[in-house]
Amino acid sequence: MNLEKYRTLFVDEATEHVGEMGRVVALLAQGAPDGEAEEAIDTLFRMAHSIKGMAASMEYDSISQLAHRLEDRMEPLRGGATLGDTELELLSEVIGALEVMVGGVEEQGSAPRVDPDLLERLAAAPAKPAAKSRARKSAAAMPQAPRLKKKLPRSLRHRCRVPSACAQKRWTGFWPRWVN
Amino acid sequence: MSQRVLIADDAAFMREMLRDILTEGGHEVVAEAADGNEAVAAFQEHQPDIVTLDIVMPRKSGLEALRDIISISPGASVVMCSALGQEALVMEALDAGARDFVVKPFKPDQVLAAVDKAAGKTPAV
Repeated sequence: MNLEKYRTLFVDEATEHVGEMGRVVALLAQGAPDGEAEEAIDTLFRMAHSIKGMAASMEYDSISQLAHRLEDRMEPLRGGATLGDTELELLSEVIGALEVMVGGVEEQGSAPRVDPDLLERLAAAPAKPAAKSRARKSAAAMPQAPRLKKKLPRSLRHRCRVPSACAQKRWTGFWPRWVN
Repeated sequence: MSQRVLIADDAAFMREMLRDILTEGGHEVVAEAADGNEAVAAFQEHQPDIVTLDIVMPRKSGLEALRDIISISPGASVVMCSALGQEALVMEALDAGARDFVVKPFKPDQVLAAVDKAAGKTPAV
């Protein structure tokens, strides 16, 4: 597959997603009402998920890794959490890093390295959601993974296995930390 | 044998990639959808042979769209597109009637194999 062809499309769409993520973080920072806050967190999750997939398709592993960490961080917050200043600052930093990395793809054709410290901070446990009992209004659009009563058949499980190279890769590069 | 395919994914990038894979594989992309609602509407309008459905989509998820499509046409051939780590959702989709699934990042041979399997109307498992 000729990946070069898709580079422009990736840059355009990832830039749009990063912009949308910035917009919803600003909305959360302003203290959005409950319904809008839940939708904003869902949007962050979905945008991160989308960037992860696109970046993986383009073999921009550092971008995919950062987006994956962000996606994992947002998932437990989808239950109607209230995000504190620390969490919002971290999200802003991640979005800034993604913006820079996507810009790097546009200018240089390759994804810059990601700050390993940023990855570690993203992987740390997020702040406890303020209101776990709040019902989700947008649950229909974002299905929660159900508790498995049975596993995928063995013949199909291999298709879902995380490649060992991705699971064990350790980034040793340095990327300047962005401060908003 | 060439299949008429509906592609549903909220990312234009993914739709373009899938379109190229399917077209180069000899299939015809009859419509594209950017969310679950569009996917169901496009299914009703175009009556494709195969539907590729992204699991995570805005407004209506791929799983919900799958259920709607199956309720409209119980014999519909749907291939779910998932990311790594979504085994539970894949299982739910297969239980709900999806024929097969592909995991992103897409590999052309795997996408085409999934379409062929779905077209053959043989169970995924």
